[in-house]
This record gives sequence, C-alpha cells and structure tokens, in this order.
Amino acid sequence: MARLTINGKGHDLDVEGEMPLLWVLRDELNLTGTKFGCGAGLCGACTVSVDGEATRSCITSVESVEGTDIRTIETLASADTLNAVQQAWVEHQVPQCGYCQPGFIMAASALLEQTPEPSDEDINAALTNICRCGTYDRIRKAVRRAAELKKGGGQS
Amino acid sequence: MSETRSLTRRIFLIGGASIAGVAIAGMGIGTGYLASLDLKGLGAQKSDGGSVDLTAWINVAPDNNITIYVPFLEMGQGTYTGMAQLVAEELGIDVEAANITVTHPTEELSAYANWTMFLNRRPEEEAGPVTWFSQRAVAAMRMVATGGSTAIVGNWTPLRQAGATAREMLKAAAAQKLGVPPGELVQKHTAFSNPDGTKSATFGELAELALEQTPPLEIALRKPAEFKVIGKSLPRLDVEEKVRGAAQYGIDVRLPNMIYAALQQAPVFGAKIKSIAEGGVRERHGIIDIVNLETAVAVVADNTWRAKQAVEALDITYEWPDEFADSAKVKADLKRRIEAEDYTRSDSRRDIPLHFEQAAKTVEAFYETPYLAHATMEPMNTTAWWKEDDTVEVWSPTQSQTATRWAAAAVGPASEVKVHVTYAGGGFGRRAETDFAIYATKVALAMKGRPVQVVWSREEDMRHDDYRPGAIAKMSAGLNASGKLQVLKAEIGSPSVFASYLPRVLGMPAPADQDEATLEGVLKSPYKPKAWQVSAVDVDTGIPVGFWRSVGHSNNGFFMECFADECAASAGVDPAAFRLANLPPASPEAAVLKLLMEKAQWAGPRGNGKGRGLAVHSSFRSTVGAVLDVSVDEDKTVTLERAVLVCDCGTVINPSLVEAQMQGGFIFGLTAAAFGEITVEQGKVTQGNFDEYEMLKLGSAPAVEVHLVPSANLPGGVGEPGTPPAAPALANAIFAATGERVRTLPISTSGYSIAEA
Repeated sequence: MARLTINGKGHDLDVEGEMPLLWVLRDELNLTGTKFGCGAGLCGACTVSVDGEATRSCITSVESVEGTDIRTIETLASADTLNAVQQAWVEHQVPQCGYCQPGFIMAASALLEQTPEPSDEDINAALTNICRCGTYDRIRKAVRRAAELKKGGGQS
Repeated sequence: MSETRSLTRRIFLIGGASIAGVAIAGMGIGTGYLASLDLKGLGAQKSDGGSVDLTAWINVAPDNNITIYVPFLEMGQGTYTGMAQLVAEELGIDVEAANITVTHPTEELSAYANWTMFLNRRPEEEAGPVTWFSQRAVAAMRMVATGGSTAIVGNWTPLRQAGATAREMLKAAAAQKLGVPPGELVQKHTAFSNPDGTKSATFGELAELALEQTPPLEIALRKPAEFKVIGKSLPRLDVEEKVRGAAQYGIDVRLPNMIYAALQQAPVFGAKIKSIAEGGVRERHGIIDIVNLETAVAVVADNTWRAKQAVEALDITYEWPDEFADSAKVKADLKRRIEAEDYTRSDSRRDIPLHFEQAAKTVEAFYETPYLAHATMEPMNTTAWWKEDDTVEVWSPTQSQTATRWAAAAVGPASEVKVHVTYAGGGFGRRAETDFAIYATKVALAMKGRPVQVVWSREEDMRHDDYRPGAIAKMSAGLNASGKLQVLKAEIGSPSVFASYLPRVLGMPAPADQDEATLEGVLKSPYKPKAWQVSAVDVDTGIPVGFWRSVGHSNNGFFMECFADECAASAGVDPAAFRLANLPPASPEAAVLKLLMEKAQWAGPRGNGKGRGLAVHSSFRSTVGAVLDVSVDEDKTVTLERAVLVCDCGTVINPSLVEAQMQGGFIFGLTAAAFGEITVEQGKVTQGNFDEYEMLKLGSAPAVEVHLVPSANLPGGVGEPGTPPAAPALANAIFAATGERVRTLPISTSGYSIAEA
C-alpha cells in the first residue's frame, strides 16, 4: 500500500513500493497526460513535478515520493485558463504530434518557477527531453515567451 | 528499358504489377461494381443521432455542431488542420469555432481510399480507362491509408469540392426555408440569413432540408485571389488539447474493465517461441494470463508495469532460424554485387564508357548509410476488444486503417472488425505496419470479452522495427573542362522496401524486380546529363525494412547531393555555382537554390573552423534546399549553428504548418546523420533505447529558418521533403570546415560528435 498526494488529492493505492510513479499515474489513476517514452529516464516524456522539481516519473518509485506534493500536466490549467507556459506553447504553435509536450511543459514550468529569467544555457540544461518531431526551435521561443508572460503578471 | 516504363513501375503496388496491373485487378472485380463505387463522396444521407452527412467529410448535427472527417492519421503533420482548411475555404466556416470538431472517421468509405498514394497519381491528373480501373480497384478495397505526403496532394480539389457542395445544398435549403432568393442570402459561419438579418437559420436547422436538394454537378471553386482560409497560418486545431495533456493517443485509450499486456518478442529475426518456463510468474500480484503468440510471449496483467516485470521474468526458449541476419554482411553483399555489376535492374542512355573516356575529369565516390529505426515517441501499441459475439473493436494509432482491419480479422473468427484511429505520437512510416495491431488482437482473442491494451517497451519498439534500409552507392561522373557534367553513373545497393512490406502487410507478392524506392531521387535527378546510367542491386537480408520519412530519398538525397559537392570541388567550382551550371535553368531546384543563396547569405563570411554546407533535393512533389552552418573543433566536435531552408511546395495551405514540417523533417534527417545507426549481429538488433540510439536535443539542434517560395502551382507534399537535404548539408558543411569528406553515415563513424550547447 502507498499513499500519494497527486494534484492536491490524496490516494491510497494497492501498489508495490518499487512501481514507477508513471504507471501509477497512467494505469491506476488514468492520468494519461503523463507519457511513457523510454522507461529509462532518457527522454523526459514522463516528467512530473515532485515538490516543485521536474522529475522523470518512469524511474521514480512510488515509495520514494510518498509524502511529497506530486503535480501532473492535468493540474496546470483550469477549465478555461491555460498556465503561462501552455499559453506560450499555443502562441508559438509548438506541438506537432504533441506526445512529448506534456513532459516539456512540466520541465519548462519547473524551470521558470526556479529561474524566472533563464539564459539559453539554463534552458538547454533544464530541457533535456527528446522531441522526435523536431519542435526545438519553437520550444525555445515559447520558453522565452512564457517567461515574459509570467513576468507581465499574467496567469501563473 | 525506357525511362517512362521504369518510372511507371513505381506505381505497381498492388500485386507487384504496374498501374495496368492494378487496372486489370480492377477489371477482375467487375465493371458494374466498380462503376457503382462512390469515389467523390459528394452524396448526402441521414446519419446517427438525427445528424446529416453532407458529403463524406462533413456531418451536421441538429444542434449545429459540425464534424469534419479526416481519414488520415494525425501524427503531428497537422493533417487535421490542413484538411479542415480545404473544407472551410468553400464551406465558409470558421474552423476554430467551438461548434466545429475534426475527427478520424471509423467508417472506411471508398471516397477515403488513398489512391493518390497507391497509384502515385493526383486527382487533377485523372484520365483514361487504365486510371479509371486502377483508382476503383483501390477504392473497392477502401485502402484508407496515410503516407507518401499525400493527404493534401490527393485532396486539394476533392475537399474543396466537398465544402462547396455542402455549402450549395445548405444554401438552397436556406433559400427555401427563409423564402429568400439564394443570391441574397448572407452566410455568417454556420448560418444563413436575409440581408438585414431578420430571418436566419443555422446549418443544423437546415441540414434535413439540405438532404432534399439536388447537389449541383459543377461548382466553380474559388480562385487563389479569393482565398480566405487557404494560405493562412491558422492555429493547429489540436493544439490546446495537446498542451493540456488531454489529447488521446493510442496508449491513452481507457475502456471499462480493460487489462494490460507487455510483450517479449523473439529476440532474433525469424525465431519462434519454443517453450515458456513460467517459474511462478503467473502467481504474481496482478498477473492474469501468459499467452504464447508464436513469435512473442505476452503477459496480461492489471497494469502495464506488472505485465512488463512479469514478461521479463519468464524463462523463454526459442527455435532459432537457419540463418542469422547480419547488417555488416548485408553491406558486404551489396558492395560485392555492385563491384561485379550484378545488377537487379539497370537503365541507361548513350554510350557510358565512351563518355567517361572523353571526359576532361572523372570523379568517383563510394557512400554508405546505415539501417535506421523510427523511434516514434509513443511506442507501438494497440488496444483490442474481442467481444463474446466475435465482433472486434480495435483502437490503434495507425497509418493503415484498412490494413489493420484486415489484419485483425485474420487473427480469428471475427464477425466484424471496427478500427478506431487515435492520435499518434509520431509515425514516420512505422505505423504503416500492422504488427502491433496483430499482437494486440491475438491477445484480445485469448482474453475474449475484455479489452486489452498492449504497449511495447522502448526496447521492444527499437529491436522489432521495420527499418529504413541501409544502402550503399558507387557514384561516378565525367566532367568537361568547364565543369559541366557529361556523364553520370549511379550504382545503388539497398534491400527493397516494397519486397519486405507488400507480403508482410498487404499479403501481396513482392515486386518482380528492384522497387523504385531504391532509386527515387536518382532516376529523375535534375542533374542527369544526356549520358547516364542508374543501376540497382538488392539482397535478401532477413532484416525487415519499411517506409521511413522520405523512404529512398533519405538515402539518395545524401548520395546525390554529397556527390554534387565532390564534383564541384573536383571542377574547382563553388558548390552552388556548380549546381546552377548543371541544373536545368527553369527547374524548381535552380529557383530554390537561387533564393536559398540569397536568404542564407551563401557568399557571406564563414570564419575559421566553420563550414557552410548545401543540399537541394526534390521529393513528394516539392523541392527543398538547405544551407547548414557548422563549426568543427580540433577534436571533431561539430556545433550545428544555423540552418536556412527554402521550400517550394506549390500552393501553401498553412505556412506555419509547412514551416513546422520543414523544421521537423530537417531535424529528423540531421538526427539520423549525426547519430542514427541500427546494427544487427547474430540476428539481434544491438541498440535498445535512447542511450544507444541518440537524438538531437534542444541544446544540440540548430535554429532552422524556413522560407517558402510563393507559388500558384498545385500543392506538393510537406511531411517528408524536409528530411533528404539534411544529411548531405551536414556532410558538405563538415567538408567545407575541415576538408574531410564524410561518405559514411552516421558521421560518428568518422569520429565526429555533436556539441551540446
């Protein structure tokens, strides 16, 4: 049994302690916005926020995140308002297939929380995810735009 | 053999024959039946929930919600948006409005059959009895499929006609209902009104009445100067659900009572399962069953992770094939056959040896490319539900809806199979296959009554792909004293994609000789002087190969454009000047190149240790030129600094989407050129995950600037043409920076690595 707090809500789960958080989210809780890409922490498609840190959930065991505040892509927006990063992603029309984008958006959101005015180096270091559609050009522009939006006092 | 004849062979596809063969197949079906097929889909009928289908692409519900059916897989290329724009141009609607939905249809109508892809003909070219029969043969089989950058090419006219037909029927209904002459009606999005707006009716209110109208036979479509939607960078219609994490990919399908399965496929190509020692695995928490699938074992569990852990714990023994595939042996065999001139096919013009003798200079180079995996971000998966009454439903991110239905139906005694196409996390040709749907359907049959989702691990995905074939090329040319090509000889060795794909996926025989995918981009090369020879060799390999973004062009663009650079260097001429001197002056390649030289400041300064590489290649009815700037350190670390692309894809439907496809296609090609290599030893693929099959990332990918050539020509494809120029632009840039020719891909083979910024 494990007790996790996900998107502000407590869940008691009948799962093994070593089960990766990714599969609890996807298969036990049907929070499918967090994606499976590699299972080895290499691609970042499964990125979630654990106590504000971008974390690759496919290599993060359930037992290691008990008692933390886990946030997924599903919690970023309200019904009619996207967060600043999502808004910037729409403005720059970033997604193609879109499969990797929740991971990128989670990583970018965590980056901007910690580093509101990131340099190119900060962005490169924080966003080591893989996008097979090659949307990198627009991702970089969208991260900069999201920083502006946040600074301008728009939605968080 | 005449070039015309050899070019039409490309078209074969069905039965490995020519387009005439497809037509003959059609004649076998019967003229009466073929004539009854509705290829245009312009009829109207009642549909579910009181809604009305006005053409095969547009459904109008009584509540005025409009659905546009797009029978092409949305895998990132933006087909939902591009196709909706074609409909909207004539239907006069705002596709971004809340009452417009775009979706993949479940029903496979003959109007959706992609004969443009299968016959390599576009609707605007349609003519003659051979085409009539062959189109209808494809339509008779439905053949709903996505590939070959054909969605826009094949639907540029039909979807605008559909939009116009629906509009005219709704307008006639509005005139009748409102008692206003059609010429006075004012349309605002999905409603018609009289001029002062006192009387109005929505599409939803008019749909039933529209059914009774006779669709006009000929409608004049808007001229380019009148376009309101075509040519506009509308936002992608799928963008918001994708940034919310709400878009449903194949892997996200969730059904009541659904269970999950993981696979362990036989690790060697051609091997089969001999025995499974369960060793208590069945007793583990959450494990439901262990299923022997002959070439794989599936463990079914209550979640994917438990299934995966369990399948990896099984002790499986295999029955090995007589021979073990080996990628190095494939290369050696191809090379030997080229040296022996043991061609599978050869086309030539004029006396080749004589022209080489007379040349002022001769150039020769040998190139080599590796096998490549697709590595879509969403690993292969399918969800299947074999119900108690033997009806089957399949949810699959597939480029081959119809082939998937056939494949699922062949698994067991299915009475009916329905295929729901989901969003796909990348496709690149991999999802033209049916293996992932077949495995899922087999597991579903074993688990009859419960939906099962089968998700491949990344390693299974990478080791059981249908790979882009590795190829080799021996290129030779003779130049005159002023650097003009006098003779060109291309000898290309590659396993045949069609010989692998057709029997595997469509149950059709392999083409009689070398398929054209091996030679595409060479046979029709604009550089060809009057004396030329294009020859191909093929070998049986035991390694499955398939379609990979731009297919043969991905190899041949590298061969042709690196060789053009070598010829330029040999002639002592600037690479761009050499190309301009040898391309037909009125060719799209020459026009693209000129614009590219200007936009990329080709003549501008380069700096120490820096190089600027060039490539221009036409594929899928479009031409793309690329200039790539690199810098190379002493330790052979390459920094990808900047790329400038010029694309002539005819009429542009959505510039933002075309830019995205150019950027993405180019990065896809660069990634492969930088890192991509699949090797097969003792029948097994060596690479398993992204640590062994690396990708460009944000910090290593260059900025890619895209310029579109203004054009009023028919639209060309855009999903694939950005890929072929990438590898040669990189190799040519490295040469410009270092003086070293990289003739083998990936460049890491020659000791080059990519800098992470």
